Amino acid sequence: MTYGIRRPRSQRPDASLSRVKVAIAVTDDACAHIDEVAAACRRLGLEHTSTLAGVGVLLGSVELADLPKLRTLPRVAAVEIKRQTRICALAVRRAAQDRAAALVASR
Amino acid sequence: MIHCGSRTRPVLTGAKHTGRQLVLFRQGAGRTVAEALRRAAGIRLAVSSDLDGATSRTDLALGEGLLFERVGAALIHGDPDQARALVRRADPRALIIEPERYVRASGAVQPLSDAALPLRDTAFETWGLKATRALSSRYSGRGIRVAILDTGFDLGHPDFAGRGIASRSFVAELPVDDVNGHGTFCAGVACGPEQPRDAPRYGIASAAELHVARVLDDEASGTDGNVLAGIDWAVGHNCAVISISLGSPVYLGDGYPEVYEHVAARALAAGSLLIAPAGNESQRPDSIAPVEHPANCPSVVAVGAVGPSLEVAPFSNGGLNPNGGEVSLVAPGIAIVSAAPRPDLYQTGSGTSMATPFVAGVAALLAEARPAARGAALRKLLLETFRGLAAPVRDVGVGLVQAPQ
Repeated sequence: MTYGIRRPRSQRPDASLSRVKVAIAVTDDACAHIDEVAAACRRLGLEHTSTLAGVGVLLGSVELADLPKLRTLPRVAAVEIKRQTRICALAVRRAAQDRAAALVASR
Repeated sequence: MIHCGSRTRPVLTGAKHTGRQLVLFRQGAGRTVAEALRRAAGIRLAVSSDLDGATSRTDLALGEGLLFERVGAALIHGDPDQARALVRRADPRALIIEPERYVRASGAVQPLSDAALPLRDTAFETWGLKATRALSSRYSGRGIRVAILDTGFDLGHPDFAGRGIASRSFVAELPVDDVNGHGTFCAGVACGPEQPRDAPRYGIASAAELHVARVLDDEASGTDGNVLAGIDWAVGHNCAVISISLGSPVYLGDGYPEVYEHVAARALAAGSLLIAPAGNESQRPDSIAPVEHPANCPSVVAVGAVGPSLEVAPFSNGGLNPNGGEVSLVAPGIAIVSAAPRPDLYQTGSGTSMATPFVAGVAALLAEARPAARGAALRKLLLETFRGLAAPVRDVGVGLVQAPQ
């Protein structure tokens, strides 16, 4: 029995990229002033693409070298490089309608 | 009277309290207080960490008392007033002294006899609905908004004709229409109809108000940004339940993503509960992978999968990372029948993706049953409504999700 997955050296997040897409969460008390935080982030190099005001998040891209500066901004709670997500399904078999119909026909 | 050295085991008579006193000390003060109690009253507290994990109920019942040093608490036999006086003398700054209560799992359910296993699809319901007791529930999710964040949805599926469905795509240049089929599958399990056109019943919250946010492309892949935008949209639409059957792997020792945790906590505060799959990276019995992102956020419900014999699915990830990386509960996730985009109409699938909308559907039933329970209160209710399974908490959390009756 083994636990976990060993992280391959080549899979450090976006290590080969100089500009990365980021999600920035503002602090709870800054949600009502998220536009001001966005302006401060833009001054530090954020190419701001959208604001998710309901959940207090800014989306955009930034040079990797500017990431540490963003993280030190007042009213910025967290900055993370966006990652790929995908579904958590194994085999999905279409055309199951024959089986479904057979089940229904057995009523 | 303090029962020093008492060998009396508490008797389960329906009483609320065990007769022991629960004491909370200042962090780090446990050993000092234990020594003071020994000097003042001759009470000898066993230390839980010295018992090599043998803190069974019997151990707790038979000793003079037990010190849980790591959490700064102790159990002491005796009358509450005298125990309080002794503890206050030993440690004037003890934080809380209260009677120990009996606890039990709420949402008690009928045990399923082994003879009924493995569960099978019938002409009237899929095995997943049988396992979650959805068919016999008197609730249908009426008035509850459920968001499915996925590959979209077949808005023309005949099983959903006449249902008012709110939808929006967050994937550039792609409509809500589901080409992949995964989103239609998940929406079907969570909110499928009471009487499908040509299949056994496969959906749980048949009267819920379905909200569909497309956040993944036709290859069922996307970025955090789209997912976060979908969550923002669903929270803005007052969806009580947000089902996101997607994720990305994490590694042993990884923490949870902070941005997602902030978002999930804000969603909870706004009355929206996020539910996500534990992931399918395990290959049991050889290897177990940790609960993946974003299910590994403390504010997100993490769903593992079981099969028709209620066995842990071989692919289902386990609670290996602490602080949010635990499995919350499990739901059916092997050979599940649900809706497919036209012309197929139906499909079968396996994965924790398939288990997640079962939990979302049950959460909608609970939200209907308890209109005041939203956000964290709904999450608490959900995790109290389960059937215990004979499997490690690491793999199944509290157990198998159950519909309210």
